[in-house]
Amino acid sequence: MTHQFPSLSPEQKKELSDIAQRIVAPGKGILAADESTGTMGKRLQKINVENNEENRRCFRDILFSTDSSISNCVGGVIFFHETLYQKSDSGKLFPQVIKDKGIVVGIKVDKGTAGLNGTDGETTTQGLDGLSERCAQYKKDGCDFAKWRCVLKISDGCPSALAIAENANVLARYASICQQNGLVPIVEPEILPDGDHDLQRCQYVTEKVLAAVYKALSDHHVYLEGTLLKPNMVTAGHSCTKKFTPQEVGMATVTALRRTVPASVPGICFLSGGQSEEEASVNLNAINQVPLHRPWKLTFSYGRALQASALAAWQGKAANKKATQDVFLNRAKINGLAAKGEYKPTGSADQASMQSLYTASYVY
Amino acid sequence: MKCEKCCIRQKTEELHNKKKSLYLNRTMNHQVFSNICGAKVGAEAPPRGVGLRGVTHFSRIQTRADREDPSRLFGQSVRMTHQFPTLSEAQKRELHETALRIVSPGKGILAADESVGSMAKRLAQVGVENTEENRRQYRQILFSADDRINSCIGGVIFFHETLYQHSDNGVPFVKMIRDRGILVGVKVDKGVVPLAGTCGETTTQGLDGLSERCAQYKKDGAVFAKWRCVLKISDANPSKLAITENANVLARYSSICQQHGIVPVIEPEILPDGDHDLKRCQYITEKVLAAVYKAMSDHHVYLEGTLLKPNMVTPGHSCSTKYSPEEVAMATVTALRRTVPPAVTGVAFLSGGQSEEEASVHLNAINNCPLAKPWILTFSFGRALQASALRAWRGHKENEKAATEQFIKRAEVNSLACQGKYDNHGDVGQRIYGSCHAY
Repeated sequence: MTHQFPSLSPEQKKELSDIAQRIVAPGKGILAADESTGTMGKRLQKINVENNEENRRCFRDILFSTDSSISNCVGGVIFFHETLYQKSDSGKLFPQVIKDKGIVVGIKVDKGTAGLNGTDGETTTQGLDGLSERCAQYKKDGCDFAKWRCVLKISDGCPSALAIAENANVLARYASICQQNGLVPIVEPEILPDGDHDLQRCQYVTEKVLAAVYKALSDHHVYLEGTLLKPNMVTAGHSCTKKFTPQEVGMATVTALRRTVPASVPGICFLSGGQSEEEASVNLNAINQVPLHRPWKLTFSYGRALQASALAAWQGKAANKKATQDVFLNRAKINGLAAKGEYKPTGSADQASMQSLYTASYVY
Repeated sequence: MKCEKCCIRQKTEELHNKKKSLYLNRTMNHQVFSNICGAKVGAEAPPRGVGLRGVTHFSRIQTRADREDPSRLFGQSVRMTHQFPTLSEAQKRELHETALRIVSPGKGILAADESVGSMAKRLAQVGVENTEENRRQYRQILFSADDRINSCIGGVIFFHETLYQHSDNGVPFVKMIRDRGILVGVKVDKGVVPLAGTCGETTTQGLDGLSERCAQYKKDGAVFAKWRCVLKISDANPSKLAITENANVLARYSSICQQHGIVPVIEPEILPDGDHDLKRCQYITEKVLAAVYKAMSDHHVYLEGTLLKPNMVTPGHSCSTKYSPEEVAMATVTALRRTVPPAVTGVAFLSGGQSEEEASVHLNAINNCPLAKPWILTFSFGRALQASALRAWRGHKENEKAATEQFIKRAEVNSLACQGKYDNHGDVGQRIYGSCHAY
């Protein structure tokens, strides 16, 4: 083994570390507003709104122009490429709107999944080609962090050793490239909740996947203090007959993380997967109350679990703008409390938030 | 506050008790509480014939209803789980508790496991012949220390020969140690062997029949074990082969120990020989430890039931640049934070070639390092606990008491150092840790 060839200067490291710390400041999490065009289509279809560029812009505008107290619970927003160059009603570019609130701007940079031949329907994720140049441009255009999603699934033969190794490797390459361009990489190795496996199985698989991810990050010389992790919570499969309490989910999740995620990672921002808004908040809250030592921040990076009610309130009508923002702000505040383990559910969650957001084999 | 019993940090006593009751039924005691990760809370294993098979790592928390009707647990079939359970909940609990006891606050490990060959070198330095009797007499000096060491030493690592020796009064050494609440460990590796095709690198042997040996050592009083791998830094080293091979053999050893209720102390020592600087050592340490923990994961080792015995991150012996204890501390803690999962119960540093005082001062600085440290950081010292004692003894019976005093003194100093409370006369003033981004 040769001498290290420093991948980053101390100044670069400090910049990355500071950005990561700002995103996961106490009580704050991430709004994942990076749904691709196709995925937005599915969302809008549910409320009978046409999937055109203006409608997508309009909905994001409503969220982004929410009252500035949103920045007490949201530390970062992940954008989709199109949205990064759209403007608010007042003519300001969206990244600027977000930055003016003191929130960090992020960008989804992967280009979706691609099949792994010889496996049982497993995938890797593409998007490495020209990634360096794209990151440099995104940095100029106001972004300070990026997101890349890999997908694994649990079944009799899955995840296979190849799927685990390949996805870990591609996440590490992506992370390395981002850091060279001053972007904090959010590393997302999502294990889908599809299936009838129990909580233990998910915990076991999560531990194996995360061990592989962090070995790959080490091999690729990634600066861990300048990264964030976006994993699934450890939950039973959607068709598992056995029900588990939030406390059990919390314990399984924190145990898996303690066995695999080094303390130098500043924050872990869970994805919500197919969970309802309320479920996602209650589980996050339970995770933050687990009586084991947790050296990283444990917060949220939610898409559906922050926006479902807002979308239902909007219905595509401008008149509903304030109502939409109120509902969105409410969810954000709840999750901000959950990220500190201080959320006390009143026991009367409304129907929209309790509705399960699960769809089979979720694809962006 | 940090609850002494379950070693869990909580903001207040109230919060601690509140969380304890939330997660457990009321009859829980602290020891079990601290093992909740992976342990089935509260009870002994379910009665035979009921749900034993496959009830593994993490089972749902047992409720009162379950204890009244154990057949409820039987329905918890885990046919979908691919894992093949390595350890039962009771086994995990035992391992975790043992590990916690060895590294209880203020305590560390006395490494008294020098092989016959190593003892030859030590005894030669003080002009004493290397006989079995002399080795016995020397260990007796250490083991007859008075109660002052009970709060400083959590475990003693024995060499095989010593495990079966007695004091002058015929008391087995193992009994002397155990009777003061100190845990007994044993070195189980069989030394290094060369890796052909490398530049003088080695792996460590000793896996053959290790399972049977562990079972026997457990019967003979040992509850933990130690295995030392060695890596070195030079232009070509450590090679990828040396890193992977040593990581693998450490994982195999760990896995076998845990099957027998023995906590494995994992020692991937990177030698301080050479003229490399602090940064190089930090870089190598990070690569080595990342490989070690990947191997542990691959071999399904239960991390909460292990201890790590690494080198501190230091410059090579012939490096011309000098570094402060704070720089050593920052480099060491940074390397560990990037590689050692929080689930590992404790890190007990080896002293390598450091002097007694150097080792203590470094350990103290490590414990005062302002970065968050999720594991206990203590000592597992051989020479750094015994050098003065050996010199005071010189093989003369009349020097025994004085020699024991020297040992007690070092033990007390290190007990303070592993709590970050060792303020030596040297430099009580400023402790400048500097920017963590430079590491």
